[in-house]
Amino acid sequence: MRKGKMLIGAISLACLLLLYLPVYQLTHTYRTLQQIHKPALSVKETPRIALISPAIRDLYFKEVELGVQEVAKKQGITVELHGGYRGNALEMARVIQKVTSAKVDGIIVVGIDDPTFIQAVNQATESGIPVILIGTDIPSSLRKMYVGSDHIAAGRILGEKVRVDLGKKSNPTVGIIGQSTDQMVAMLRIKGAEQGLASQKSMQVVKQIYDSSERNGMMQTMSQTHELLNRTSNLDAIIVSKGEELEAVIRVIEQRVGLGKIQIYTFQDVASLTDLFAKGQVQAVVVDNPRKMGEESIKYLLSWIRGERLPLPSHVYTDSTLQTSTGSRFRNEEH
Amino acid sequence: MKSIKGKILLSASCLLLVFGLFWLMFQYFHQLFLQQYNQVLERYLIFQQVSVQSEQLLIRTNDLLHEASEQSKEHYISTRNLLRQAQSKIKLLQNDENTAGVSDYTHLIDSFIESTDLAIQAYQQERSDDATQFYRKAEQERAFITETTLSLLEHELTIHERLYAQMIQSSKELQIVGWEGFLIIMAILLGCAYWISRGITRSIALLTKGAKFISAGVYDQPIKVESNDETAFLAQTFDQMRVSVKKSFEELKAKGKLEQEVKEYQYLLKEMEWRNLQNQMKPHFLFNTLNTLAKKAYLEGSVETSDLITTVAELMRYQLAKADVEVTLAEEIEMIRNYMTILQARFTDRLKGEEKIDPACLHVLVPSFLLQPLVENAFIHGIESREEGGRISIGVQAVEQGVQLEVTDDGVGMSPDQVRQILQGTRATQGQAGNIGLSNVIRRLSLYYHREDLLQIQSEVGKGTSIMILIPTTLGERGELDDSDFDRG
Repeated sequence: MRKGKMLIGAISLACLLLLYLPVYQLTHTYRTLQQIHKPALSVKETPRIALISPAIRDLYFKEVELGVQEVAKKQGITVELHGGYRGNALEMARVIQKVTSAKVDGIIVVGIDDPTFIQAVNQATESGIPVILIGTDIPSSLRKMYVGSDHIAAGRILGEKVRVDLGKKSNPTVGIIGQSTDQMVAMLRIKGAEQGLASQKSMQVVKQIYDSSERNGMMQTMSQTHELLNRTSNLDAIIVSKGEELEAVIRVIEQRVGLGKIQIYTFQDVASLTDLFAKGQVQAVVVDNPRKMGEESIKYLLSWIRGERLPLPSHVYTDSTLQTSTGSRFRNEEH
Repeated sequence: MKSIKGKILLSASCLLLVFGLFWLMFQYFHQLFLQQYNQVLERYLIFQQVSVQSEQLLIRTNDLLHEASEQSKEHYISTRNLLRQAQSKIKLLQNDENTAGVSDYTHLIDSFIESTDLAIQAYQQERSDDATQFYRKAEQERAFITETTLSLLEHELTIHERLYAQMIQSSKELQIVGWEGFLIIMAILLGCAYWISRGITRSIALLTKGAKFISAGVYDQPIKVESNDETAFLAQTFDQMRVSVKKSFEELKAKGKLEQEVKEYQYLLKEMEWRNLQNQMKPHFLFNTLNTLAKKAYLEGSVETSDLITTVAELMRYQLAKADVEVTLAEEIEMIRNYMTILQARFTDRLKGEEKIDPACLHVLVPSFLLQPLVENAFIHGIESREEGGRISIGVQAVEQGVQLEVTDDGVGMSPDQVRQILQGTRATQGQAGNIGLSNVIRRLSLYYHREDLLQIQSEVGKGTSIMILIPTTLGERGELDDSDFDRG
């Protein structure tokens, strides 16, 4: 009789266990279900910052974003990322208009030298929203401030490097390629580079400045490189003013004279430089500090929003460093 | 005690309970999932409302800018309120992942309504350029709203994808629970059925076994059913029946035994009577003849012969009168003396008689002819066959348990085997005439006193035999009875 009772107890215990597991699983699943629609805990009215870039997947911009988010996280602020993957000025202008309508508390945007864009920035400022430009400055706009590299200084660093590298040669020739439309970056870099090269009188500088059209950037750069090579027969070095142009330039040089004959110098705008660097195609690169740009820009923006620092300085320059193929590698902090 | 009905009810309610639990659980989870679906729908509806109402508001604004009637103004205000209502619900949509989007959304609607208000205000102030400008802005903002709606919806969809995946998983789990529930209910059902039927069948098997024993006449096997339903009661009653049958059976057996004993006693009595009758065959004739013979001998001067004949006559009279009654020991001894006299007359020198009698014991009542067969026995078996003759002594003495009678001879004696035969199988030695007397004495003693150990024989071959009889009585008690018996006698 007692045995029977024990058996019944054991069976019922087993049944309970058998039941408990799926029921537990079910309740667990249901909990996660509820989590999905769980309303946010009463969100504190923190400043809403819009971070806008035409190429949000770009590794260069990723660094900027990292810098921004790092600071934002520390301060408990939401930063909303806007933009496109290969956006143009018009699209960015529209994004700025949109976040202006959405009444964000501040805008950090990669500058584009374009009238519509400038107009959108101006509108935002008129609505009382501070706009900080990074990477590219547009002094003519109503932006609150600029945070980014001093492109003239960066150009100068590279120019000096080229001058030192070619110092032993007699009558060295340096080619410079750049887009005239990119007034605020390429032109400034070229200006700086010329300044760096100027101290050596024997240096012959050949500039290939061209008007870019968005549609066919690569082809155009290639044809311009061809033209530059046509113009000068004995080019010792070439300074590529924008990282984006590098690939086209390298390809042309490879076809025409072969790599190694002409030393290539450029600025770090794209991440693929790492590869080129590793293959020894590029002699030296001036590297920006995008993370620092992000950190600085949000710090200044927040201090303005909180009224801690009025007025803001018109620009804050972040450091640019020279990296050579023999020296330290490009900081490989891709994410 | 639970009845079988109770057991069935218990099992049924247990099943019902489990079933009910499962049903409740399923209902509960079903309800939860339904709630989830509802929530999803509600969220979609809010987006839908915002989208529709903002579109409407733009249309109303446009209408108002073209035709400023009271009616269109009313329309505008009502649509504006509806949009505000929808906007107030947007907060509900906020979760950890879309906080920024929802916040933008709310502010966009704010901006949109501001723009439409400003457009109408400008129109009313007849600044048509401004009005158009604000209207354009409103249009743009409406586009932004639509865009944000879409992106939020997209976000919702990705969330809901997860939701649906979870729900599918849940429904699978629910199915498992369902199957398990089914199995458990089946197990309980089977278990209960087994439990009930086992309880009944086992009890019945035990009852059947008990019944078989009883029918075979074995009443000692107790019938015990350890159950807590009606079968236990049945078994209990059955067992009681067994006990009472056993009791009456034993009573019957005891009664039978008693009857047998009575019959035996009667048979012995009959035997005695028969012997008496046999003895009485010619009693009076013999008695009278003996008396005449005694007188004749006396007249002829043969006094000794006359006395002997008188003794024989006395003995005969005793036998005639006292058969089958209790007599005092004194009477019995007297009779033995007469018997001895006759024997001595017959065997003159060969037989010597001795007496060692405690007179205080003489009033004790004993069955008649208790000693005579012993003396006869002693004489026939012990002395008669011996050339040189022998001695028979009779002793009466008070002992602790009563009165001890002793008949001793110094004759041939018996082997221990013979003694045992006489004591145990009295009937086996029936053939020998002399032993009839001895066995008769043993039986009468056992019948009279209801004890088997009263007669003892001590014997040795060549040295003689001593037969002792214990009369279990206290002297005083017997004394009292003695008087009354004496009156009767």
